[in-house]
Amino acid sequence: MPYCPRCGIELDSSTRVCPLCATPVPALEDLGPGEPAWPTSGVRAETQDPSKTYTTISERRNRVFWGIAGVFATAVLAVTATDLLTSKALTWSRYPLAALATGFFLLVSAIVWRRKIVLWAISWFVLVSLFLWILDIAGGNSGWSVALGFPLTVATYSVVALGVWATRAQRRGYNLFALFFFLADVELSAIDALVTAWTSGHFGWGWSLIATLALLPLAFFFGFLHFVLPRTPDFRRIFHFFPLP
Amino acid sequence: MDNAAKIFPSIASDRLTHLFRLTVNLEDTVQPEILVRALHAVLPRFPSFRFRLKAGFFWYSLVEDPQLPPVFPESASPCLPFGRTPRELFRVRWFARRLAVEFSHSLTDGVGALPFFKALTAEYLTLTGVSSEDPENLRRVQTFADPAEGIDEFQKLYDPTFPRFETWNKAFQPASSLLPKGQYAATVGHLSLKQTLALCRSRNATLTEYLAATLLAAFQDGFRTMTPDQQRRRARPIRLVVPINLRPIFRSKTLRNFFVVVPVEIDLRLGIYDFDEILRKVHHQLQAEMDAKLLKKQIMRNLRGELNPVARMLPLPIKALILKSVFGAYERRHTTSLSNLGSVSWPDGWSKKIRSVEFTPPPSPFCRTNVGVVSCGETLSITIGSLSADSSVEWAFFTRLLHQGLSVSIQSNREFLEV
Repeated sequence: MPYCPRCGIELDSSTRVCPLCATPVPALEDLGPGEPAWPTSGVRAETQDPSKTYTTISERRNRVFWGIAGVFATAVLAVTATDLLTSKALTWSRYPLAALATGFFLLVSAIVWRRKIVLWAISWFVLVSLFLWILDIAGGNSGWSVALGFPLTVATYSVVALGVWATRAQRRGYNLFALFFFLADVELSAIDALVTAWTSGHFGWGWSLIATLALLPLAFFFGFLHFVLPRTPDFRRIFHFFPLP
Repeated sequence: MDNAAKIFPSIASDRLTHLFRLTVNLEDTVQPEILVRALHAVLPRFPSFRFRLKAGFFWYSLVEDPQLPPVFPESASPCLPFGRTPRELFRVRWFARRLAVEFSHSLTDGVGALPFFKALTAEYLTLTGVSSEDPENLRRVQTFADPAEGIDEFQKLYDPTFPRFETWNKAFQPASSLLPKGQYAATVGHLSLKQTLALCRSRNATLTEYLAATLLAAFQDGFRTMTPDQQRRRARPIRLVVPINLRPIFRSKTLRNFFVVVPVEIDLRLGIYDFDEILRKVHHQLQAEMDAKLLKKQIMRNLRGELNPVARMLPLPIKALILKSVFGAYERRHTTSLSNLGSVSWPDGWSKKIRSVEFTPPPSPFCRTNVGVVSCGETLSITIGSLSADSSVEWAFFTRLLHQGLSVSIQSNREFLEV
């Protein structure tokens, strides 16, 4: 019997690759090819086994891709045809067409890079920025995509990235609530400041101060529960609900 | 139908098939036409196996099946589903010198399947001209089946006064991707039973305890190869469950499911264990869990869900949705399982024509790697069934046995899978 040169484990005479460590096993001429331990795929194809009805991952992925592409292509054709028939030119349809194209590429990049989170995030950032720029161009090129759209995208991305990074903390509990309220406040303040800068030419905060007044105390409360109080706080003792024995 | 049988068909999927397999490797090539004759001769002698599944409005049920099933050629993966709407409850397969029967857990458990499997093998060998004395009447010639074989013992033991069972926390799961649907890797290691038992005795452990400790250590090896960030996020108890055959404890002859699982674990949050520590822990935990009262408490836990009035009133499709999520949460509380069927034997005349027996555990996408153990004569067969794309647990488990001085011979279908 052959042995795996890496594991040292005895293998079946028909084995060509060690099933434990995937090391190729040199064929021993004295032993001959050996009787296969399992049917090869050719044998399986001849049987009436339900296993042959399964498709491979790449086949399934292709099927999903063409299905999505078909749905989007139908929508694009319908929108374009309606606009051309009614206005004899591409007028209002430029917006839904840009949205459809962006939606399609967002979906495709999510499917292709679903296991590569960094590539996924970068592709979405580029696509969203591009979409805002196209909307800006289509609407008369007033420059809002660069001055307002891009900073807002960066702010939202930063807040989400901070949230994802922080949720990987070892001890998770009330700190996640604290984080949620804190980040919501940061995002709202950023939106307020950027919109104010775009409209009036200088940074400033208005309505977001009310949001801060509501959200920050909640963030501090949950942070206090998590970081200051013991793991299982005894609320009766903390708030003196009734005399303790 | 027993408790497990009602639940399993509702939650079955392409990967969660609930099919386990008993395989006998013969000295000569299997002749399928004789195998069909053997199956058709044996089946009427086991009335508790002549059933198929029927979906009702509230639950699945078993209905008698007058048809005699065919035999199927081997597939590249064992324990594959019967189809989208499973109705059959077992399937006989053949390939080269191998004869295998795949049983649905809705029909029976490993120990319950053994009498049928042994009878089929004995009948097949007899029809091929191999004669043997049959003192235990394995083939059940001219006898009537005992009605006690079809009893649901779980219902008999129900006692609503028993306290609730404490739930376990989430268990460690190795970081690995799943094999594509329709593929299940089975890696069988053949060892010398005498040599392995001598090693176990030298460590004051039973075979199950020793193998359970080795499997826990193999999972711990996988944990140690992870990055510090992965280790921090995945540090949970490695929980191995061992199915316990309840028939000898509650004196039952049933061939329906009659088992519960008991846990043994090491908690990775407390640090790394050496093998002696793991073996000691496994020994004490198994001893503590093997208590009839504790086992009965587990039976109550399994039955409570089924007897819940709200659950009973829900139609089957809605019940299936709820059961799927509940079962998924339950399975995530285990890392792996190890089933030891013990020794399987035939009288001398037939056993001369038998090389070895194998027991493949059912696949599960939650606990992706499970182990089935059975021995026949001098050969101990350990089958690691895995839906995981990488074979690191198999490698760690078998090389650990190798380093303990045991000679292990491996056979696997991984080579033929299209990953």
